[in-house]
Amino acid sequence: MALKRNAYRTLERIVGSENISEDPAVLDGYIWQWGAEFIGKGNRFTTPRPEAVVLPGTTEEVQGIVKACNRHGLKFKAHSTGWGAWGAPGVEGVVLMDLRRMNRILEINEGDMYAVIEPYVIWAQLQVEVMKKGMNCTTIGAGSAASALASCTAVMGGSYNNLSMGYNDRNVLGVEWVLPDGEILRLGSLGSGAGWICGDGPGPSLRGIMRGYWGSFGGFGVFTRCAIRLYQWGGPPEIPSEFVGPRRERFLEFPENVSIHMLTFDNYEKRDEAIFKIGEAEIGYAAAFMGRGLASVAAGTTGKEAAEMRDTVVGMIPAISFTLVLVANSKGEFEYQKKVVAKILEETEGSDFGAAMMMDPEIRDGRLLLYIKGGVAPVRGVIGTSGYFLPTMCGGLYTRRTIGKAEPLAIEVKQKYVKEGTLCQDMGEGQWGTFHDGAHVLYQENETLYDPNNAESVGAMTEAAEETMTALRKENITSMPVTFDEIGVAKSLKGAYIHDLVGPDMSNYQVWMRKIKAAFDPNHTSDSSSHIE
Amino acid sequence: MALQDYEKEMMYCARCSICKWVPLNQIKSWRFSNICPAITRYNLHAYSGSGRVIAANSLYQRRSEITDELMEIIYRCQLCGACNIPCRLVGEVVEPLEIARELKMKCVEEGMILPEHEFMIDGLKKEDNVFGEPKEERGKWADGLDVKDINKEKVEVLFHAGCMFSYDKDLREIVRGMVTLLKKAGVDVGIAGKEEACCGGRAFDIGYKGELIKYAEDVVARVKASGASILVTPCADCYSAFKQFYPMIGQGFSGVEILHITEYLDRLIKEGKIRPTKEVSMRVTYHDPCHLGRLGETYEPWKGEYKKELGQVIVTEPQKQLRLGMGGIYDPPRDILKSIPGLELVEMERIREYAWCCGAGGGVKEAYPDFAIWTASERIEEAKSTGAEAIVTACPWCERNFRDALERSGDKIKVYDTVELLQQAVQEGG
Repeated sequence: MALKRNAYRTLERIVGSENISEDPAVLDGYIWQWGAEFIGKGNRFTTPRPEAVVLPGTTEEVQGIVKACNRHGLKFKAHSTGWGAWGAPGVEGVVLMDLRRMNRILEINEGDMYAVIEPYVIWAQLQVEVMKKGMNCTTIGAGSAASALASCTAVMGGSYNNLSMGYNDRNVLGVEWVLPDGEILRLGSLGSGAGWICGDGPGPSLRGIMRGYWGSFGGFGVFTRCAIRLYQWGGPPEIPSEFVGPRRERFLEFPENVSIHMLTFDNYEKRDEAIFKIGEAEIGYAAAFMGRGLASVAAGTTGKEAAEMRDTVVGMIPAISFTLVLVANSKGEFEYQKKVVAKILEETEGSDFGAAMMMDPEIRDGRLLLYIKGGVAPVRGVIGTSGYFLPTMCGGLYTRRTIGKAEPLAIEVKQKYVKEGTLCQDMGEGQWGTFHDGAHVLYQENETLYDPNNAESVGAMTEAAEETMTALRKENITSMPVTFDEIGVAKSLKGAYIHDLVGPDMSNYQVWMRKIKAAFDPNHTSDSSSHIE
Repeated sequence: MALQDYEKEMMYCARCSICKWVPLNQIKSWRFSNICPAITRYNLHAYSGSGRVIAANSLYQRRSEITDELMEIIYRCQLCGACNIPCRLVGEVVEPLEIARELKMKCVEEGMILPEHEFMIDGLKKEDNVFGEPKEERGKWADGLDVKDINKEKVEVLFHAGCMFSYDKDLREIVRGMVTLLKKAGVDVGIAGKEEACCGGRAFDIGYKGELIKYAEDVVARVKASGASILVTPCADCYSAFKQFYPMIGQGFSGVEILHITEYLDRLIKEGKIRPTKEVSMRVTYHDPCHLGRLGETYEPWKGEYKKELGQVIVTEPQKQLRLGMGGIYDPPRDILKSIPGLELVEMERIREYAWCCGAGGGVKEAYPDFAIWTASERIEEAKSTGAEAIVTACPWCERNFRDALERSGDKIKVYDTVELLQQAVQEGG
C-alpha cells in the first residue's frame, strides 16, 4: 500500500525532502531485524515494510508527524538506535520514525546530577561526557551503542553497574512524551515547570503508565527527551585504552582503587547469600553473573579461537560464581571494600577465585572495560559467535528464593538442544545477569547462541525458550516475568502474546494496560504490536 | 565477485549499528564519536555500513531495484572502510566495505553511472588519468630534477607519483621535494614520467573493476621491467591499490617491496641518511589517510568455507583475515614528525584504524563535492579542537580536499604533507 500523495507531502513538509524516504531498499533497512526470523521462517525480511521512514529533528516535528498520522488514518512507530524486531512495524500502514537526528545531550547538570538527552544519544556518548565531570551513568547489557533514552523509558534490560546505580527504569527523571494523539505530556517535575530533577513530581508521576509491564517498545507514543540520573564516579575522568582488536584492549594506565574479582561458591545458596550481603554492605561498583559456557564460547577473537579455547576456559572457570568490580574514591575506601568482600567470602565459604589471574592485564583489562563501559564486547560475545542469541530464561527479575531454583532449571532444559548441536554447545550454562536495588532483585538471562539463518537452529531456539518458560511456570516461578523473552516480543508483533500469557499470573495487569492504551490512543495510531493492542 | 557471492556476508548483518560509531571504548567525546561520514551526514540507515548490506540483500533477494534514490545512496560513500573496523569487533562474517563496493559495481553493470564518474573513466581511457589531463604532461612535475627515467635505465627504487601529485600544480613542490630528499639520501631512484599510468584504484572505488584489472597489469609490468626492488609511492590511494586491490584481483609485485614515501623516509631517517636538524616550531596534528591506514594493510584473499563447531559456532576454514586495519601505516609518518626538532605532535580523538575520512575518496569528491567538503570540514573541526596550528597528512587527495574545505570556510589552520615539514627540517646538505 503506497502512501497517499497528500499524506506524503504533509510529512515531507514537516521533515524536509532529505529526511523522508519511500524507497523499498531503504525501507528494508528498517525491517531486517533481530528476532524477525522467528516469525519469518529463516528470513528477516518478514515484518511489513513501513509506508515511509521519516527523520524528525525536533519534538515539534515528532508532534507534527503524529498529528498528521492521526489525520490521514496512518499508524506510526518510533525507534531510536533500532535494534530488534520490535523496532519495525508490526502491521501495514505504518510511518516509521527514525529518531537518529535527535541526538543531542541537552544538559549535564552537575549540581543536581542528571543529564537531559534526546533519543539517539547512546550510552557510550553519555558516559564519556559525564565521567569528565566526575559522574557516571548506567549503561546496558546489550552494549553501549544502545539508546540511553530508550533503555530507560521504553525497553527492558539490565546493566553491569546496576549494582551501584539501580535498574535502568529507576534512573529516568523528567520525561517529555508525545502521546499517540499528538499532545505533549511532561512527566514528573517537568510537568509542573519545576525542571527535570524528579520523575515523580511535583507533577504527574506516570512512570508506570509510561512503561507498562516492561516498556512499550515503541508502541505508545514517542519519548522525545528525558533526564537520566547521574551518580558520583570514583574512577578517573577518562579511561584511555589501547585499541588492539576485539577483546584484546589494554588500559594505557590502570586506574587507581579499581579491581575485579571472580567470587566462587560451592552451591547457589551460598552464592546468593553472598550477593545479598554485598548489597546490604553497599559496596561494589558493578557485578554480574556470567555462566562459564557463555564465557567460554564468547571469549575468542574469532569463532575458531572460541572453539579452540572452549575446553581450556571451561576448565579454568568454576561453575558457580559471579564477578564483582570495586571502584573506590580513596585508598582507604578501597581497602575497606576489599575487607568487606573477604569477610563475606568467609561467611559464605566462598573464594576470590584466581585473584592473581584476574589482575593479569591479559584477562583483567578487557573484562574491566566490559564491566565499566559495556562497549562492543557484549555484542561480539553473543552475536559474532553464531550469528545471534536469545535468552531461554530471559530478563527475569528474581528474588533470592527464586533465582536458585530458576537458574539450574534453565540449564537443565537446554541440555537436550546443546547435545544435539542445534544450539551452541555451552553446556547449558549461558547465564548472564545483573544485581539491582541493593542486590535484593536479581536479573538473569540464559543466553543461548543460535544460527539465525539455519531453520533447524531457529526452531530449536524457539522450542528451548518455550520449554524453559513452561518448566519455570510448572515450578510456580511465575510471580516474576520469566517470559521476558524476545521470542515472545517477536510473537507479540501479532498480538500481545506475552501479556496475555503471564498477565493472569500477575493480577491480570494486561487488562489495565489495555484500558490505558485505549484512553491514551483513541484512534489506535501508535503501532502497538510490540506493546498491547 | 557479485552480490550472490556475498550471500552469507549479507545474511549475518545484525543491524546492531556498531558500524556507525568509533569502537565504543575509544569514544572520547559526543562531538567526535561518529565514524562513518555518510550516515553522519545523511542519517537514513541505508547510508550506514549495515544499511548498505541490507540494501544489497534486498536487491539480491529481488525485493527491490536500484532506483535513482538508491543510486545516490550507493555513490554517496567514500569507501573509506571505517564501518569495517567496528563491524570486525562484532564478528568476522559480514563484509560491509566489500559489499558497498559491490553495490557500485552493480550500478555500473546496470548502466546507472554518474556523469562525473563517466568523465573520470573517459579521462582514464583517453589519457590514463582520472582528470582527463594530457598524458604527455604527466611527468612534467619532475622537470629539472635530474631524476632517472626508468624507461631508459634500470633503478633500485621506482617512484610512482600517482595522478594527483602528477597533475595538481598546488602540490607540485611537495612531490618534487620528496624526490629531492631521496636523492640527497643517496637513493637510486627513477620515475616513469609520461609513461606512468593511473594505478586504477580510483576507478575500482567507483565500481569499474575492469579498469582496475587493466591498470594493474600495466603497473605490474612496468615495475617488473624497471628492475626496481622497491616501489615507493607518495599517494595513499596508489599504496592502497597496490596493497589491497591488486591482491583482490590476483595481481602482485613478486619480489618487490612496496613502500609509502613516509615509510621509506622514516627508514632513511632511522638509518641516519636523512637528518632533520632544523627547528620547525609548530604544533601539529596528524590525519591518518584511510588508504594508508586501515586500507593500507596487505589484503589476504579468502576463498574458504564457513563451517560450524560446538554446534553453532561459526568458524572460517581456513581462518579469514580479520581486516581490522591494524597492519596499516600509522607510525612512520608520526615518527617522521616526532623526529623534527621543535615540532609538537598532538593527536585527534579519532586516529589510526578508526580515523575519520577526509571525504575525497570513492568518487565523492567528483560527484558530490559538497559532501566531500562537509566531511573534510568535520575533520578540520576535530583538528582545531586539539589546538594544532596545522593538520598534517600523507596523501595528496586528503591534502587537496582539506585545502578546498579551508578555502571555502576561511579557517586559518594550515595543511601540510608530512614530507613538507621534513623538508623544512632538513638543512641544506643534511
